[in-house]
Amino acid sequence: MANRMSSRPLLTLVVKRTFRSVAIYTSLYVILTFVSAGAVRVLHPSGALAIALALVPAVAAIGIVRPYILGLREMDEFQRRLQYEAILIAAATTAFASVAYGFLEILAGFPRLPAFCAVLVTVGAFALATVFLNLRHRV
Amino acid sequence: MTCEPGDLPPKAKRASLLYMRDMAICAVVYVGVVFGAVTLIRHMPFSLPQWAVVIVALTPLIPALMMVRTYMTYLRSMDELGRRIQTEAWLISAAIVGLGTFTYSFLEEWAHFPRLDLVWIFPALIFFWGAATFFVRRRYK
Repeated sequence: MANRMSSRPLLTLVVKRTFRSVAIYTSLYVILTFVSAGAVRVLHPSGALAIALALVPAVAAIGIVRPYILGLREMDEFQRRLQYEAILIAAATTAFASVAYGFLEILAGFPRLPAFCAVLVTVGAFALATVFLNLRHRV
Repeated sequence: MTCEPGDLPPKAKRASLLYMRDMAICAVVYVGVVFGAVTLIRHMPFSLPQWAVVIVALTPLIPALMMVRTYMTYLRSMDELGRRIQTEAWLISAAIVGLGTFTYSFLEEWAHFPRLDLVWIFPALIFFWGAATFFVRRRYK
């Protein structure tokens, strides 16, 4: 407990810096997505150009993950453990949701959902798990 | 893929062997349940009511839950470094699959790539977790 209290200022700095970098790259991702969508609407591309435009936002997506992993390595053991638990919960939720709905799509005729629904489930579960775990441990 | 029993102390070696045995059983049960569900819904002379189809379609979740339980038991038996490697591998896998599916959605919409069934997300997560575990372990060595 004393250790955790004494490392709090450094921890806050690392967490803040990590989430600031993630927020910047997420904003860039959203901007690039809109730019690509706009270009597709105007140019009506096909073939290689359409593929290239679809891949443009992925550049920023890599930028979202990298600072998070680097920040995670700098966090103290307690904060890192909370993040790891949240990641495991998010991965398990995504796996279950995709298996459950995937079979309902194929076998029970449920409407087909686009693949990006998986990332929405992952991000949503990760956010909820982070909030829940932080509340549970009263950080 | 995630354990090398030859390098481990006896207790960890036992946990590793138990994990591999239980996971193999779960995998066999999973394949059996999936084939059973498909046969029951698609290849039977009678047709099931919709509520029964939904229940049968969800039965593969049972062996999937067994897999998670087996994995959690194995994870708890690991030391701090082992847990850290595993969770970093899950993070990388979730990131690749999450961002990959998002990117693939654009390819579906704009470049008319074939639609991806959500049922492939789970195997993709497992595949990238396995690959990431290999690379993360190498980094810590």
